[in-house]
Amino acid sequence: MSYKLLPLRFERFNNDEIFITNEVGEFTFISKDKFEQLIKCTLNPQDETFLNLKAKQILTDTDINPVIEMLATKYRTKKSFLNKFTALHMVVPTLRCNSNCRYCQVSRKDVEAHQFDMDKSTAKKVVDTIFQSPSPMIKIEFQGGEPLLNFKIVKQIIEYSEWRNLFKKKDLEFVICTNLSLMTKDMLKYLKKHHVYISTSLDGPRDLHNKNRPLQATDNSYDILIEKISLCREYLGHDSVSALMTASRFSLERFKEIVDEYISQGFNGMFLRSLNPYGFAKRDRRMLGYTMEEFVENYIEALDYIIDINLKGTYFVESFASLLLTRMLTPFSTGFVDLQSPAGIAISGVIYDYNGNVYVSDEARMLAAMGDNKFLMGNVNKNSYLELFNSEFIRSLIRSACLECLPECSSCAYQSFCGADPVRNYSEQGDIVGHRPTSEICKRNKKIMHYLLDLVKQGNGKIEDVFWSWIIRRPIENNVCITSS
Amino acid sequence: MKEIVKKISDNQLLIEVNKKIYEFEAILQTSYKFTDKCYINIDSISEDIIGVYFKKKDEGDVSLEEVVDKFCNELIDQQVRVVVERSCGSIRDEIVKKAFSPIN
Repeated sequence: MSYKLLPLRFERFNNDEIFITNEVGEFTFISKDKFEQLIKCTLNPQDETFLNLKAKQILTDTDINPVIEMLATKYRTKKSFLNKFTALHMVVPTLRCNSNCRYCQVSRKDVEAHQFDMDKSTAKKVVDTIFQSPSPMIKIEFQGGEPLLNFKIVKQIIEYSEWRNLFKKKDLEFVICTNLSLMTKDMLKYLKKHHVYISTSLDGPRDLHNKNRPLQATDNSYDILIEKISLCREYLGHDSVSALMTASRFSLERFKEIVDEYISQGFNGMFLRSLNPYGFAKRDRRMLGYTMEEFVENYIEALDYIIDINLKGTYFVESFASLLLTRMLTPFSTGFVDLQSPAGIAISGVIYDYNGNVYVSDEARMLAAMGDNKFLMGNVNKNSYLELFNSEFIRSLIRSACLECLPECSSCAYQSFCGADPVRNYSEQGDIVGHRPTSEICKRNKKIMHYLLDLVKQGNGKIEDVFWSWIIRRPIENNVCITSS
Repeated sequence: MKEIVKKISDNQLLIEVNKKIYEFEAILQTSYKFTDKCYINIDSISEDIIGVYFKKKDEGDVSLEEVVDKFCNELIDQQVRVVVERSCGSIRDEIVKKAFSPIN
């Protein structure tokens, strides 16, 4: 034998080619014949395929120890999101909400139900808990309900966090997720002073947005939203506001219109998100839901449309594709709470409910709102940081949330790009490990990854430039090709 | 391939897999991938043969013959994965161990 195989995973990509990845996500495509030779260790060392596989560290014909060192370094880089234990801290200042979203996933409460507000003492303990995190970076994200309904607690958390950070000196960031309807100039002045980013929801053109996300006071939430986005930009700057969309059944077949709406409102990117099976979305799934095949079909059509828009000179990013492409084409770490291994629950992101309950993720909180406290970590008013984050419950949960040892995932060629989501598995399939052959998320991820890899494989330099502009988050400048092709 | 596929009834088929060619791990992993299509039972038939029994689920109109054809192809891939893993699984362990070792 003239060479040795290094750890690899493979999958039949099409009728003629095999897709091969190594442990750190470097990949290539080879013919079936060459694959057979590779496995039998009969590839000719002068062969271009051999040299390509050697360059990708899928095989080696030299001393193996330096190769292991190199792969270990790359592996450490890929998993470096683990150093930020725990970076994302979501806080629910209130469950009250003035929206009337059709697919509300968090079981909102009436605007007058003040018993669902976070109190001052709990807010202080939430911040104290957050600042025990060893992560050098802390992002505090206000969720709801509608956080602006309890703005005094939002302010208290921001100011107390800033005070705590005088001593901790972490990279501290605030985001407020709001429907914007209650945003005032005074609030904006405050948010500007404290460098708070705004995340809102825009589901598409007027009729679609109003159908998915009406306010309780009016069905025409769209006009209010657009006016308030403009106001936010005036006070905080154009890029201080981002928006998310959620696709309901009403959104299918309209993804291009949704993209156009984002562009016309001055956004330079969006995240095409499918509906999560929690709250009203789960209760009313027959009316609001759709199959994952339908979503993927719409997603791919929209992705092609977005690529075309970029090719015509408008910089516009689809964030899910951008995340996957970063994993496929760069050696860097890309933690993403819903899609990483080990799963991001508790160790990358965590949520503090209005009453101090701590859940491993926002989806875990949504499950709790439906009466299932399976993923409750404890309560800031009763438990210490170590009791919350270093419990046997969290340890066993994370042990069951590593793709490297999950059935089917362990040998999946897409593993380096994918992630485990035990809360979703539990919600959809009844157990945290899940059943891959019937997993909707597995279907979605594999199909989208396959599509992106196919585009990469085609080697179209212009499309590659678009992809790289998404990865580096900058427009293609002066039509200069970044890629060598 | 016909000889290893046996019809038990209208909604049940059996594949007889040679243990000298395919390892149990490959058979198990392959079977798992088809558990969405039908009910699968794995049992030893003789010293050299493992039986994989396929039974139609009530819902859907899955063709067992089609499932079995795909199963046979997938079994080859899974056996290759077992062989590759045996060949370089220890290297993977070494990479992960080094990656999480303290840096001097």
